[in-house]
Amino acid sequence: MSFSPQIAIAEPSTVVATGTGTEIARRGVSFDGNSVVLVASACTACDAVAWPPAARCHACWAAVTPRRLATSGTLYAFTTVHTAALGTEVPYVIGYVDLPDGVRVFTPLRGDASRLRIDGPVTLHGAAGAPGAGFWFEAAR
Amino acid sequence: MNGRHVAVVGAGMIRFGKYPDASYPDLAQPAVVDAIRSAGIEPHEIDATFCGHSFGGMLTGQRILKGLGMTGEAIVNVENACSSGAGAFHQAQAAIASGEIETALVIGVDKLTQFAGGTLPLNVEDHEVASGMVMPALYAMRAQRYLHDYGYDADDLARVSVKARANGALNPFAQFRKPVTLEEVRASRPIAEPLNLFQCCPTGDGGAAVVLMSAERARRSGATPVWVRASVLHSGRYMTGFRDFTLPEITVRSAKDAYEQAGIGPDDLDFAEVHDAFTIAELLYYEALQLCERGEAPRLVADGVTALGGRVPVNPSGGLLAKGHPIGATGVGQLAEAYWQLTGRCGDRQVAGARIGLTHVTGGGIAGFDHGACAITILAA
Ligand SMILES: [Zn+2]
Repeated sequence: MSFSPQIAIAEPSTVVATGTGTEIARRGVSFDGNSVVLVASACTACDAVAWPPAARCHACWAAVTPRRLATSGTLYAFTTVHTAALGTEVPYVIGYVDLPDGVRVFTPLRGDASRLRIDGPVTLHGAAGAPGAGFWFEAAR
Repeated sequence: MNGRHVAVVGAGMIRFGKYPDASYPDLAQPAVVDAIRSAGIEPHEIDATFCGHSFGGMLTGQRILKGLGMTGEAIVNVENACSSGAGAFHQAQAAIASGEIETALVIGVDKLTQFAGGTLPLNVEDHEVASGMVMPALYAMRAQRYLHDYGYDADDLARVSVKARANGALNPFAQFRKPVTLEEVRASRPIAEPLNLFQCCPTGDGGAAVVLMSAERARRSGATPVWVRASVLHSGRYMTGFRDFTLPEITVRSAKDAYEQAGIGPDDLDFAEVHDAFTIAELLYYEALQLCERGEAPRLVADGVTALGGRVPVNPSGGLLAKGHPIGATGVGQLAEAYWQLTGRCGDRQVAGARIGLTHVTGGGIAGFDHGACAITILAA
């Protein structure tokens, strides 16, 4: 990271509102008809990738461009939650999916939970009107 | 350690538990009074107070101290999740070491019964939290991965609870004072698989306090000093890619720095109080604190190495699993326990001949981090 001193009249920077956690995650999901894809931000300078996408590179502050991520990966770890935050319906299943793009995504898991395996293959699903961020993963068929 | 030497000279704590009708001052004031009395000083001799809490709201330290006539000097409120109390301690010892002040009060306090139930409320600006992440689930996934990678089973987790509850039964400050059997842990209801109820720290309230002094001031006082040999506070490293859930990077880094600061190694520890919010955490921290090689932690529990009477007792107080985890109070409660252990005041749970002890807390619940904060302290008689 390098900075050059600027000599200018001080001006206020722009605030980019990213909203709640759900809104942040939704910004990383793109729907095209029945198909869904996760979109990360990739740094134009250092190639750091972030999902959910960020407005600037967290590593070097350079500009970022959108990058569509693979729609299948492997399940790094998962759990069935029986006690959760107050007001949340249980049980539900969540986990972390490792995508070949080098990104680990936290995700709801749906479908037959008995088919989920640690390091097992999973695929992306989604629906524009679905609750939360609108996407989830299931064990691959 | 940089700067002047710092001593802990007094400690106080209420029994952690459920006090739904108690205010934050109600929870903290008895601990403050006991800490200052055990230091053998007058309240006005405190130069500054550092108060750690996560859910106390505005000016918690001032609300506590106004009823004790201890106002007018600096009061700093510190929030760092489960490391709030230990983070306050870190700031206090730094203020003494630098020469700014001679005597400091550290308070840790929190009241979790103010919430109507469910898991610890996390911040919904976090996208993982918004999608269902809760603390038991995070540790459950670490547990699943650890058991998978190293070939252990759920009983290897459950044995940590049995040890914790056995120690808690000996500790009058513990929320849970009833031992549990392996069968009872197995039979408790599931929380986040593979963790069940008896593998999770309870919800509760608590207050704890310690008094710190410069070496010079401590020598002039009549109190029994315990020396701060290391005090480390770090934040976790934010990462967007893959990370190994069985290697808690923030604790690994903090432990390395703490041993270096103290000029000792893990073999020199007589006991440790570690952040066993869930059974798996204690196992991961044995390895991160270098008490054993990676993949060997369950053997330490099974062989009694970390039990009272073992080579290096871990959580002689009962830890978070038995003593309780009112999050901002936890780190200061550990330091109170360490002070009492190193001054031989722990009764039935006393670690015989304890000369050097380590305390460790983390603070989690944030996407992209192992944990948001970690504080490690090494104290010596
Ligand atoms: Zn970059």
